[in-house]
Amino acid sequence: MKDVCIVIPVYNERKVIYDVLRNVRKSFPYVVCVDDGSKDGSAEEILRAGAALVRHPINMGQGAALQTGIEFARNNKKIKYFVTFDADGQHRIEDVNSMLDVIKKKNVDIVMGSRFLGEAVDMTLTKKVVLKLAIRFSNFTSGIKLTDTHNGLRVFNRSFAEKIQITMSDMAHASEILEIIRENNFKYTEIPVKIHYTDYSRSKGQSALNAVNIAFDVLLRRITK
Amino acid sequence: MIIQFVLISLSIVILLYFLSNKSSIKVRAYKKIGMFLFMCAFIVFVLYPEMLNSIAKRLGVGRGADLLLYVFFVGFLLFAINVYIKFKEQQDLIYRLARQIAILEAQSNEREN
Repeated sequence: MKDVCIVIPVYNERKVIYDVLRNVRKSFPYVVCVDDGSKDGSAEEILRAGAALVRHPINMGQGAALQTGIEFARNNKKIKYFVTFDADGQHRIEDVNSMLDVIKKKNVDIVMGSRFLGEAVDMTLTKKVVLKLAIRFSNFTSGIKLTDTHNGLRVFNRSFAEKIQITMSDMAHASEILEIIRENNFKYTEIPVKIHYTDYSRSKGQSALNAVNIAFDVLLRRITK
Repeated sequence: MIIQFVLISLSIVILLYFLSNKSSIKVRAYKKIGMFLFMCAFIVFVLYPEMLNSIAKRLGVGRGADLLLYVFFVGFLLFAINVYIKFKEQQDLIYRLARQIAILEAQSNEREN
């Protein structure tokens, strides 16, 4: 697992990040955490857990943090596979392992996790409705059919990582990843993953109304491009 | 009714054209020409208010004041979207700079350890 890098965007996750990192590093020693200007001392916890730390001087959003982490990781030429992972502990290492198996054995460039193929434990109804609408919207605007478009768990190879240039700083970055797939004809697949929603992850979740902001930015981008 | 449909679709086409070619030399020039014509029209209509009224009647949008409002609305929308796009571009530049700082700092920390 020396050729795998886990990229984790972190924003104010001091309470959980140490345990999440300890758990991840048991299987994958090379973890890059991007501290997106946290004010709660997340950075110290990241260093304590022994992960590589890249610190944004200002808060720039999750998409921007992912871009930073991927850029930092791709400078390391030993890395062949890149994994994006959420900081709040909602993803499982077993799923990362099975996604890595798929990307190594099948001829695909990116494997995305889908909670609707798998199961999402304790998802609220609002979240479900908003996500389902977001998936419809994404499938329509991107032309790429997926069952879960806004899942933070993704595994991709180096040629995919080299193409990534996320400019939409917030959650709208999910649509940019699909754009990269379409424009470069990358091969993609989805596999079921389990997501565990805890009170903590729910409290960190975004407001359903933010979907409106994302939809506006995605549409504007489609027109102006 | 037909003229209203024409006016609405025309403004949408102009908007999309400006947005999809926002940085081309042509569009930048059109914007300046448009602004100049706007100023000229403004002076003419201030001097001859009746003219605006008769144009509005011919277009079927009621009074001259209504026509002015519609044109102003389209202009304002163009302006607002322009500013929004410019703002996003500026933000992207700042983020790229900040990202390079963050990566350089992390690399030098890594070397020290």
